[in-house]
Amino acid sequence: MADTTRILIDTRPLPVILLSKSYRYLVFALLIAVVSYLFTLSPPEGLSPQGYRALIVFGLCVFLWVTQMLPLAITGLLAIVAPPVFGVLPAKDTFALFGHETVFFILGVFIMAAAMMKSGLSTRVALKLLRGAGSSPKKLLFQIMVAATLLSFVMSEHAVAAMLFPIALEISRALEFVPYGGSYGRLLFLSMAWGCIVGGIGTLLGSGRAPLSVGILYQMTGEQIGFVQWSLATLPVVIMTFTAAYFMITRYFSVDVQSVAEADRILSEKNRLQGKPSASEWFITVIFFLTVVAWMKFGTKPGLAVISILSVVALFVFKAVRWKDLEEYVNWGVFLMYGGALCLSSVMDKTGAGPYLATQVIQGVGGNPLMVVIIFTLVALVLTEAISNSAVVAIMTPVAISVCIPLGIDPKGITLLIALASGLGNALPMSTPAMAIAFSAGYFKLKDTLVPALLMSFFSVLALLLAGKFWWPVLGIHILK
Amino acid sequence: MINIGLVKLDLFLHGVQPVSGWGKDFILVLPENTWVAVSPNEDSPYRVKKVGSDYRLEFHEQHLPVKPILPPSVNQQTTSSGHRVGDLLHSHGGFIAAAPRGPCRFAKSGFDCKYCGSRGEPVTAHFTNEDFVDALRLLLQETPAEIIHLSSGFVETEDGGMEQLESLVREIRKHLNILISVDVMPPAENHWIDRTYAAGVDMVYYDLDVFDPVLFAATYPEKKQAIRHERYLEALQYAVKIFPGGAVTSHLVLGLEPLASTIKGIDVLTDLGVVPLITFFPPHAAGLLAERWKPDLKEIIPIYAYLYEKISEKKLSTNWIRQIDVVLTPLEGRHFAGGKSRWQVAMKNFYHTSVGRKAAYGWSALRRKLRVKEVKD
Repeated sequence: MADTTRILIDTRPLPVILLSKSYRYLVFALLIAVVSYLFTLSPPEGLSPQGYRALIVFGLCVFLWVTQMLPLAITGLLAIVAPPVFGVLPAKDTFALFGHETVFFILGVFIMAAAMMKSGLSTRVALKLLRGAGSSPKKLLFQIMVAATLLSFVMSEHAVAAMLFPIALEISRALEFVPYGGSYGRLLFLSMAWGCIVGGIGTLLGSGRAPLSVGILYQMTGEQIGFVQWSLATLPVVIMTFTAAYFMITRYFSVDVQSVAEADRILSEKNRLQGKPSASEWFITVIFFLTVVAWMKFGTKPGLAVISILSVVALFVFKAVRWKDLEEYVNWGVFLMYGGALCLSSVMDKTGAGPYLATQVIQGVGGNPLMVVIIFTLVALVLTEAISNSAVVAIMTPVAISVCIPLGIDPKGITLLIALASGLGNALPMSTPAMAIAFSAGYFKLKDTLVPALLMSFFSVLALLLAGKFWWPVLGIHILK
Repeated sequence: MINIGLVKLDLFLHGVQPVSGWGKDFILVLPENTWVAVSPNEDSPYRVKKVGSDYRLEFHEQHLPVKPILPPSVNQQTTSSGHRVGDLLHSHGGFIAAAPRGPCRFAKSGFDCKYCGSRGEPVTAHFTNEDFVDALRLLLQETPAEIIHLSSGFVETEDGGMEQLESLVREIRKHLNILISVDVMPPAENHWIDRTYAAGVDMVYYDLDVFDPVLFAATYPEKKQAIRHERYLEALQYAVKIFPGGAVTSHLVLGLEPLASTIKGIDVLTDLGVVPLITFFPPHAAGLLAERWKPDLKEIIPIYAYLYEKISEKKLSTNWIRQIDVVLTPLEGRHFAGGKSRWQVAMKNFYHTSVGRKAAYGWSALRRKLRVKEVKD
């Protein structure tokens, strides 16, 4: 046995252990029983048998995504194979839906982010953004937030959090903070996490959920939100939430240190040790800027996915990244989940299950468009605190688009609202990977952040509604037509 | 009415008259499925007589039906690497004993060990785990035993001797369906006890032998120096939390200390949830014990009765110490306490059947599967 293996003996009573280990099988058995029973029933009035079966498959996937009893990616695969199994759509149709260009756009973005991390470019940029705080504690917090936000514009927010975490940890150790030993230690990690969250909604690159929602929108309506349009639409939301977050951090909590000169010294030293940028870093920088320009200019034709894949090819041409590096840095399971979500949204739409569900929701809320918009935004914001952000998008966007079209609500607007709200969870450790990473430092507990996080959620909803009401119409997105 | 428990103890003390062709080691199965290992003794009042196709044990104008169990013929067979099965394993019918890494601590003091069959001679052959598994497989084909008992001997390492047995335990677990018990020293740290259970050990012996701390130190100065008396109790207490109920035991050897001290040991151990195993090894003529103690069954019997009563009072399971031919088990103490323990006796007999062995092994494996987590750091 290797020395690195620890043995734990569970000394709880055996029935308790047995129950805790077998409950998932019981739940699966119950799930199979419920699904089997539902299949024996007749479809409700106004819904075809195919649509009814699609609705059952949707419910099954929602349950599995919410409870995460299966990995998100595996539920994504189930979403592809369940429709042919239950006679909703032929297998060749559902597998074809998996090849949506959104999946390949995300693939390209993730590979570029992996190249940045592997080459050390992202760390170099982060350190550049963090230098020069001097001895001012507030300035250092500001710079951490800025670094986290800006980096999350161009790469996945959880990757940014993972990259900044060791830097924040080193700073806190240099300043001799211990977990729960003072306020400033927790602020370092909170500013990192909230910066990532705010930056993650800024562009199509900050997370997978933005391209996913754009893909679902295109799949269901044929409408597109381009790279520039997305970035412009989110800009005021980013500015407002960033400002709110910074004030919350520096006003709600007390900044209980006088000087962070030691942290500045460490960051300067780290900057010095970075040396000159390598050839790979230069190649990646150039390719990345060219890619962003191409997304802005040719985002519609040949399309975002084509450009991002071509950029990846260029990275390999210049040997800026190796395939082995990608295996380590890219979360491959995410693609399966996104492919499944896109497939499911299309199945819902094609079989009439989506519109049927929409009719039920509209009847439930009395057909008030403003109420519908507010409810979807709030539900997305609350749901994202507990389950995967991408799962929220996968579950809610198809339903919301189906609901909004008959009510005259712009599907682009509701897509944006859900995608942004689902990225702004900031209270619980499981709300976003950035918060989970920040909590793992052990410098704060849930009770420390609950009230400011609730206030931040309030500001987030306010920012979203203000942007939707006053800014998005300028960009041609009218939530209430 | 003949007291079966008393006959067992008396057979330990006197042996039986030699029976032609049976050799010097054999087992007699007395009524109520009570097994006893006997040694031939010309002066014994006991003799085995064949009546028709059956055997009976005759003594003091009384007799009992018995069934002799001779050493398995497979003992003479060799493993694939050429070792004699009997050199590796010692069959006790229901359980098989071995000292795979050298003589056990008793054999080291110069006598043949009745448990594992090891002798004080230096080990010349280097048996591998494969040899043991091979031998065990051959033996189980002839003697379907319930448990294999492995002794580490006296070691002064922090693991208490478990590390050297661990690979063998895992190997047995991998190839054969048989319960495993180990007789090792209490390890320095409790995580070794976790590891012992996780490796596949179902039952553990941390043998005090002598309960009185002063006499313990005098009898086993090397153990006192290496382990400490208190550590035995700490380890036993912890092991009770890890192993199944009744699967943690400790020997107390009669005659090594005043009987009152043995009684105190029974109290303390049963309070901890440990099932004490009181061993009655009549003093060897050439041994030091013979000078110090002359066994008297009238003194010994109340101890076994007391053990049975304490076990019953504390509701400790006797399922794990089922069928030992060289020791009067706690359950067999019922013969001196007027107890019936019908359920426990029925369970013991059930576990001795083919289905019972499978059930016991399956349940033990399931328990381990549920309780053990191996976490990679």
